[in-house]
Amino acid sequence: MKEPRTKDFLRTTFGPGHRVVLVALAEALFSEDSDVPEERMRSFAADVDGFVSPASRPLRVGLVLMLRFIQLAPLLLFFSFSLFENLPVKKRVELLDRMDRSSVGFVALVLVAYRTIMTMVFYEDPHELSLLGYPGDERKVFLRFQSKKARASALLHAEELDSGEHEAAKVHVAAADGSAE
Amino acid sequence: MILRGREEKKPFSAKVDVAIVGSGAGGAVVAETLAKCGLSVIVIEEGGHYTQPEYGTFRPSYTFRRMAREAGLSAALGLGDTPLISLLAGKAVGGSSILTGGVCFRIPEQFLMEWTRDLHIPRVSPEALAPMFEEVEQAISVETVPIDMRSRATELFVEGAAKMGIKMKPLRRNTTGCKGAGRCNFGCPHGAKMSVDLSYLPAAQRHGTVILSDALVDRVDTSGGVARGVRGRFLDEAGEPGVPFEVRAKIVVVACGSMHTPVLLKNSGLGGHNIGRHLTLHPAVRVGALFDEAVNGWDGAMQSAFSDHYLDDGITLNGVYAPVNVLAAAFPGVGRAHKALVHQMPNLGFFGAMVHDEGGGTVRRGLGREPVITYRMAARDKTRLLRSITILGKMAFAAGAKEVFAPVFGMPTLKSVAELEALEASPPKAHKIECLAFHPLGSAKMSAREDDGVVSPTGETWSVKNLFVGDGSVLPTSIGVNSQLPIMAMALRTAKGIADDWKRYAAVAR
Repeated sequence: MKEPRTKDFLRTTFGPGHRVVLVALAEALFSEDSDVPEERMRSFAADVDGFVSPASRPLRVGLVLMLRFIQLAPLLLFFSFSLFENLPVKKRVELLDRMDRSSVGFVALVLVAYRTIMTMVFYEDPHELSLLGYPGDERKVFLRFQSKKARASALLHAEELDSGEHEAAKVHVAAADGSAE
Repeated sequence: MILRGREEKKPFSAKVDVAIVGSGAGGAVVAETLAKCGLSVIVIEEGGHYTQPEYGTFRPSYTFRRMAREAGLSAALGLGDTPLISLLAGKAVGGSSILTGGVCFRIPEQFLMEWTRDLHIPRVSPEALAPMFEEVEQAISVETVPIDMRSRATELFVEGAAKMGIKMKPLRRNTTGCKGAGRCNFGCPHGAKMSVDLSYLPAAQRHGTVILSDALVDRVDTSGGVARGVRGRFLDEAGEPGVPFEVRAKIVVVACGSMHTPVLLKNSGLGGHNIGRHLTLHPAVRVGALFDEAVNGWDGAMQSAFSDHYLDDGITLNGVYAPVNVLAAAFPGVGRAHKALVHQMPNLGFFGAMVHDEGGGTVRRGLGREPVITYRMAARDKTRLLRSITILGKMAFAAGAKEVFAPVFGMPTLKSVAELEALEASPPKAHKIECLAFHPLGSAKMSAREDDGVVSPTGETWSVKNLFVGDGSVLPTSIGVNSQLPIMAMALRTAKGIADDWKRYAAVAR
């Protein structure tokens, strides 16, 4: 993928101390079996930073405080005298799972916020996408579009429509014949 | 001509007939309409300018970080028994029109009749607005999504709906030459979606309109109760305000969207208890379904079918999809469990529903440049939201799904209709519901009486002459359908009114 031409939003949000927690969080979320290389985890933390840094200052401050909460969650939630990043991966997963199911809105929200941001960035990696079966740049062509069988099936579905919609469907199917790549 | 604010090193000033703040669906229509009439127009946009070939190659997270407000992380804070509602709004030349699914609905007649009959707003009857809709539909190429552009995932949901007696209809979208890339709301990779950066803004530029990007308007200047122009600062490469600019204008049109228009009006000294209130959102949910077969939801039009079967109950069903990493972000679980779900992506289909809401939203000025948005969901609307989940889940099971992903944080997948019904019978706390909104409306609403709203039926603010609002903020109620086309039609109505009465407005400006 091409990088944006304009070099805006050069600011960063997370310092080295925060990134350690980010990496520990990423390991728990995506590499419970330690199947993601450490180097990728470090560059992933930078990607997450790049993602949140265009946001407003209040939101960025909120995200940093939420990360601090995760870091202190073993103590705050489970009275365990350890920082999040110092827990074994298995314990981190257990802790996050309990946060996910928590009936306390804020606790669940912290986990949801970070899982949302980090999942979006993690599964954008072309290698991860290919593992999911996503065809990458082939998405630019609607593969079913060219299938005669699909068009025949479409007309069959069109029978369920009323007469006006049926006619419109036929017109568009015909038009599609000329516009497929 | 486009001037990129981040490249401007010296203070900038200009004198024009019309200054428009915001280049999205509303502002672009006003710009083109007035420029075509021979008026000098300048459009001022806080976001950056990205060409379609440029944003067409962006990964989804890049689209968010470059072209969406708060990098796509905006949210309305739920008050009382209300979920946190994720809000998506654009911040780029072209505004949110680049980030929509392209779905185009006219405002349902029942709402236009309510505005006419109960709210006494003139020229908003179905007959009066029909020419506006027709003109916009032609300009942005609104067409019916061909049946055979449905993904297999959508086909299955449609089959499930048919078994329940729910009729699905083809959606209309503003596209030409769509190839079904399934990522309309992250910027069409083919330029097939006729967002305003590819339709109205180029047309406005051909009539001499100048667009300023990366330009944050701080306030509308007024004197003697009349708008005189705007002033603000260009945003530098770090996104921070720097070099000042000033535009003198006979008319100012604010079209920053329902989340930011109230903030600018307040920052400009406008008062009144209605500014920022009455925000409606169309709270929405999406339900996932796991099928035995690979349905490859990405292979087809992102949105292609809908149902108004439950419109009288305040629910519209809409086909949805999104880039897979964005979908994965909403999956439940942690670690190995989460990963296992994500890796079933080819077998997962999604369908959505949105609620015609009573309102309950408020926009307030925040600590920084972004507003604080709160929303108190009516009990009626929460019931509708939960009912939507049940309906969509039943559609999925009727289509043969073996598991259903309810949009409830921390909840395991549902494996039967009985489990689905149990969810509705014993609803989760609101904060556990994953809720989205894409259509913030009504925060500077139009009214027939000054006490009831922010703008008069012409779109001009009640308190400052020659200051207009030209975006979705003016809609007096929620409309229950996607808002892009309605915003454009209402903006066209406002622009035509300005053009027709230009001599009077110009005289006021003297």
